[in-house]
Amino acid sequence: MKSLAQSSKTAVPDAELLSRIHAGDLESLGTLFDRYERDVRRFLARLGVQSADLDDLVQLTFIEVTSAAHGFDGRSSARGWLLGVAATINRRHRRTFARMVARLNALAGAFHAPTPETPAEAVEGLEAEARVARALDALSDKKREAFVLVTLEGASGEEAAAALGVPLNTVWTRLHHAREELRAQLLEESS
Amino acid sequence: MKRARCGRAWEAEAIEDGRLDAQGAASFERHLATCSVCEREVDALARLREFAQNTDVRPLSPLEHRRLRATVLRRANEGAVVESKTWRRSAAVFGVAVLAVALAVIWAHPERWFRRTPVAAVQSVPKTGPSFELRPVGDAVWHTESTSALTRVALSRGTLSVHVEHMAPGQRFVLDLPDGELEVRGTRFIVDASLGRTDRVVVTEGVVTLRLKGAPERRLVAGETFTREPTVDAPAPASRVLVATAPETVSRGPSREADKPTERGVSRTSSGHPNGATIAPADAALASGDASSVVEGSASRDFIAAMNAFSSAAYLEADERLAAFTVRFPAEPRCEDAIYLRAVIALRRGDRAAAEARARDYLGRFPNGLRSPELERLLAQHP
Repeated sequence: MKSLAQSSKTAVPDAELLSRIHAGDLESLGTLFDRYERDVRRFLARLGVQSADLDDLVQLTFIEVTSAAHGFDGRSSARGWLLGVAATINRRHRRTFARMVARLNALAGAFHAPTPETPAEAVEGLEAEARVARALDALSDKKREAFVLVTLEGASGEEAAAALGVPLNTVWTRLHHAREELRAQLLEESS
Repeated sequence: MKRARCGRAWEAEAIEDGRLDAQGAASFERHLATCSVCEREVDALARLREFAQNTDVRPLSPLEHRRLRATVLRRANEGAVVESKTWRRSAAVFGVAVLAVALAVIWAHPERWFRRTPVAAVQSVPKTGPSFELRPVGDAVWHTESTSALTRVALSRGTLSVHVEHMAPGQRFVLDLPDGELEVRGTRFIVDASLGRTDRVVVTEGVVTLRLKGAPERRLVAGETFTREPTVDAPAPASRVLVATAPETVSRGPSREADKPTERGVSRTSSGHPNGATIAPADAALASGDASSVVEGSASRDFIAAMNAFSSAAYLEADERLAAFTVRFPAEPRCEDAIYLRAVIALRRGDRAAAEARARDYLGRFPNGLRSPELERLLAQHP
């Protein structure tokens, strides 16, 4: 399993970068962005963030770094910590989005229906990707974050626990339930 | 569909997550060769991982990356500026609030914050000196000066029993000694001086600070006695027994007698003396019967006898005794007083010529004597 720390591209150590960002050095924030923007984007996409919101959440993640940099524990790579920040941003976004949808539904008197497959997906033939997105979207935030971090981003259990701010055994428990739900859902779709 | 069960199926997930150590992983690998349930479980997890990895995200182009990067930095910079403005605004609001509270408190209780000049402190310096009592023992010679709150008593020689009542703040009582000074803060003590030096200080009440030339300042409390060690070149004075009795009103400070010299036997010699200088030629202690407790040498006995005659206005006898004293004890320090008193006696007897002759004799022998100013004035006066 690939460790998050192994993917660190070090010129200036991540800890030094975050220390400078905490001191107000925006150029260091740019360096951190260059280093981890792709990882954050992919992680957010795997968490189910719609492409329309993806750029905005990536921005919010790195802007959040300016105020959260003092909380970095100095580990060799900031990737896991940064994905934890992204997960927090995504959770906040989904709550806000859910509240907005609930208000709109209340106003329209409509019932929440499953998101239909978009024409673009159909045109591009991204059926498999759409299935994964739907399956992941059906998971709770906590289970989805644990699953994406460990299974898709290659984080170790300890790194995921640190990124999410939960005990290690909690990560394993969430991961187990996420797999169970995904397998059940995929089995249901295939049948 | 219900999955078949195996007691080690959970290890499929554990090995997928890397939770098994090398030994556990090897054991499970061997188990997989014999357990189809666990083998299917491992395959299902692998397929799930591969399925989930289908969500690969299209990376941004370099131009898109640069645009997004610029946007992030601009928003972060705006956030920093906004945060700074917010901090300044908060600080300003807090400062205004603190100022308003302070003004309200001051407005409510102005007397607590703007007290007037402490008049009491300005007026704390008393106009009069401390109240005190002086009681000479034997032939004490002293001089009193009072300026405002300060009283200075200059003891030239002899023994004084002193009682200074507790003083108000600002009041001082200083006893000038031939070789130093002594300051008290309300006490009762006896001081003995002769031959230009302090021989003994006996403190019966309170505290005395003794400052002698060439010696460190010392503090004497009630019950303590300072006695000077006798020296080779200066003969020790005649032994004296000092009695710390309750003082009789022999000399009083201004608060009791309002600067009137009421000392017995003093008023007769204090007239015309500058600064209220006094001489105590009579030994009140001896006259009142306390003399039995005072052992004097022959010189002192002669001198005391002469002073007794002087006190009883037997001027002729006193003059004769004083003359004999000066002949018999020419080196005795009290010769100075004897010659001075003989001038006074001549003046009181109306013999001005004799008075002037004795004054000139005094000034010739003691040009810097204690009574020089008085006798110089006497010579300057016209009959």
